[in-house]
Amino acid sequence: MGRARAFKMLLVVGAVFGVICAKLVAIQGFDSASYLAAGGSEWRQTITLPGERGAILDRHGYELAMSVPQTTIYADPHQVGNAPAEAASLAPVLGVAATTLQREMGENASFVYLARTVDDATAKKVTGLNLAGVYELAEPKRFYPAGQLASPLLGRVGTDGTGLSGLEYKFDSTLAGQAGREVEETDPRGRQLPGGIQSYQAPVAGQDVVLSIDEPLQYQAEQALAQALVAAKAHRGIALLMDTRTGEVLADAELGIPQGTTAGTPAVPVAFPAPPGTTGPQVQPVEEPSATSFTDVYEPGSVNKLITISAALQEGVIKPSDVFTIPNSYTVAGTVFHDAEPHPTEHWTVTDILANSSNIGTTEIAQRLGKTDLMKFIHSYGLGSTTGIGFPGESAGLLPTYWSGTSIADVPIGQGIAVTALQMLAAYNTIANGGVYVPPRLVDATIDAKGGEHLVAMAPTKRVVSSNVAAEMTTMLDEVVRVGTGTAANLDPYTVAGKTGTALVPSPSGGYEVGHYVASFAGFVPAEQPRITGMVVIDDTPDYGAAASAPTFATIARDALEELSIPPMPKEPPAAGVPLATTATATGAGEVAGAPIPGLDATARPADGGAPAPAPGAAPASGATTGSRSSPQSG
Amino acid sequence: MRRMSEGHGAPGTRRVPERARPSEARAAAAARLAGATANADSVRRRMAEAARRAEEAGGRAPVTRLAARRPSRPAAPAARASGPVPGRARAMANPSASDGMIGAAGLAAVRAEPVREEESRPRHLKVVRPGTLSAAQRRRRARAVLIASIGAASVIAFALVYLHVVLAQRQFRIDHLNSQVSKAQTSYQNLRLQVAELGSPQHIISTAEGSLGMVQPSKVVYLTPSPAASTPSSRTSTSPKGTSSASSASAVRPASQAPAGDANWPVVKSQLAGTP
Repeated sequence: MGRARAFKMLLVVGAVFGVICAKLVAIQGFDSASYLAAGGSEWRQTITLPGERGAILDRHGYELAMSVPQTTIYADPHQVGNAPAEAASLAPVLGVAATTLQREMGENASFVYLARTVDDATAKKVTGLNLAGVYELAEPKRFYPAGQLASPLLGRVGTDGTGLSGLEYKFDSTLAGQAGREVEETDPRGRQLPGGIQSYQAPVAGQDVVLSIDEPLQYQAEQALAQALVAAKAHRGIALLMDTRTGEVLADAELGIPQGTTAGTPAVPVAFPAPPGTTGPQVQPVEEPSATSFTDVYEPGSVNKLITISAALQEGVIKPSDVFTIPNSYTVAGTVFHDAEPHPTEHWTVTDILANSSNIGTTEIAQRLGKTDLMKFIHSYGLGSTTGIGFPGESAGLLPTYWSGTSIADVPIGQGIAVTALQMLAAYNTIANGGVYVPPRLVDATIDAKGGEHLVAMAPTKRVVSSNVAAEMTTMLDEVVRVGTGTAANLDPYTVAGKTGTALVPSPSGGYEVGHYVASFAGFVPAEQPRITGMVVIDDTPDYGAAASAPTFATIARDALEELSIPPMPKEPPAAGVPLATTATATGAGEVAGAPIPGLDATARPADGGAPAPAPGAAPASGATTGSRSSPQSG
Repeated sequence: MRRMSEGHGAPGTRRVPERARPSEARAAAAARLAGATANADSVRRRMAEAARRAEEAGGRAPVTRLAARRPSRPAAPAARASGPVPGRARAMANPSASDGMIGAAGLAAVRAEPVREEESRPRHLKVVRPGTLSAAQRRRRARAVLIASIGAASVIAFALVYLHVVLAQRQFRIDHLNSQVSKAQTSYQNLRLQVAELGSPQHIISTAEGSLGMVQPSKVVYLTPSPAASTPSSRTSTSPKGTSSASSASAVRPASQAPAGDANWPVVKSQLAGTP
């Protein structure tokens, strides 16, 4: 019995020993990697080193957006000793409710944010509290030194520094740096052990993006537009400036009057006298949430007549000196069309038609041109397709998919189509460039982390109309500003070439809203050697483009000419074969050739055309008041 | 003694004289054995040498085999030199005996001696190579090596400790420098941001209008040089300091009001009055 018992005991001991050995083999052999990893995680720490996000610079190198390391306060609730007391200490420093902090510090987690990207003074105070379980880490924060200036264009980044909109989103991969990585051994308090760095991969800073935007011009454009919005009682507006030769967008102001409680902080506070009849504090225009000049479309109205007339000249169906009979009303496919202002039957040259922005005259020209050629040139000018500027959400515009009998009267005068402000600006820039279309551009270069500058290649240009046609159009556009509807854009001694446009605002319920206009002006200066092309769109205003947009264009162009040190050019004779507009018929005919709205005449230019100004606040007469279906558009 | 010396000096070749009597033969053998015992060390060396030679020659020496089987024994005392000599010992003393070179008297003497007691005692003889250290020498050497090792280990340990201390100091220094670099970079970025904010148009305009009391012009007058001012003769009216004098300024007229002639000149002149 004794030996048997001993043998059994031996068996038991052997079995236990075997199990232990098996477990030992499993731990040391098969599962060794996982146990090593688990053990290593206790003292090995992997740190992600954020790559600094690149800056967005204007054409002179001024920072429009940049990232600066800030301090983020976080807590490890497991190491927090007395959460209520620590929360009470932190609350006044961080400006966060103590109850909120206490709740966060009581969570069952190893990491909770208490306050992200606080300033250095706050971080210093938190450090001075020396609280258990409360730590700091560095995080970059995006700053916009110029405030809200150009914010629709620049866009915004999220809390983690990722681009969410605008150029921040478009160039997120370029701006964002490559994160580095460091694996180090630390003591229980998180301090790095001597020689404890196991691996280190340095972060790479992101590239800077150099825009074509000129910061001072951007400010001046926003300032002028803000004044125009207040003076014209408009809801929103766009002001674009472009370098004629290169197609670089120099300024893109996009402002809106805040509706309801959505007021924001304006980049350009406007000290502007309140319009007559208004009471209370002046509502300040603020930057739009997105770049509507690239993404939103509108019916251009009479500024589209440039395309119609230049196409007809290019195709040879008309000459500038051709005289057209312009009745007070004109019937197309059973629909009666009118000009903006009633007038007796006129005999106008093409120059007069453009200077007076006659809808009927333009329709007669379009009928000579025909649908096919008209649409061909509309496409050639870039309408119906994106400009290639690459802005997120850029619209290609809307062109008619169905050509009705009245389309030949609607489309030539800018109704029934929708364009972006940038597209129309590029169309006018084509004439300014002698008939060559220059694709707009917004980014000039990128600068890598080592300081190397990489220029962005220009997109290829294309000829749309001949240089002769461009010269003829330039002369006619000069006449628009000299004696026509655009006299408010006169900037003597500079010669401004441009065109006004006024279109009714579409109603959400269909049709158009009477008395609500999209007033626009597009042009370039100096007409002799164009350097600046501009576009101003005032949306939802009771005023015509002549009164609202033209003077705003003049103000912005004046500032740009000063900023860019562009002197006045010697006057040149009109293009061969182009008659000048008849001053006597240029007033009160096709459209009101109004003086600027009171308050927008900052340049105090003399009313050369002598056109009567509309009464402030009075809605201009519309061509849509008569007829079964007439064009609501006027020039 | 002379014979012993001779016998010892010519190993393996000496013969017993034929006319010698048995008693004399035993005495002679004993004397030879005594002489062999006295020179045991030299004999062993020779045996080892002979064995090595035999091995080198490819054969197997019986003496070597015998020596290998038996442990070595201490040298015979001097009193034994005249006493009975074990036959095996003699055979060992004269390796040639195993080859049948020993005479009959010698063999009888060897057989007559009892050998059981001798063989039962432990033999500690072994063949050692020249230069082999003794146990004491080995102990001394081991002791020296041990002490040296401990010393070396101590030095290495102290060196490692010093190395780690230096490493730690350097690490703290690196941490400190990294911290300074980080602070400097942050400071640079903050200053860069500050410069950008101070240079922004909003700040400039607000400072100019708010702090300095400046106002934006409500009217812009463009001045263009008259044809007379663009001629070389009119340029000579410029003052030596390069600033326009009153006479040269009079050649400038507001272009925007040019059609009005000189009627608006006082308006322009008032704006020029403050300029140098």
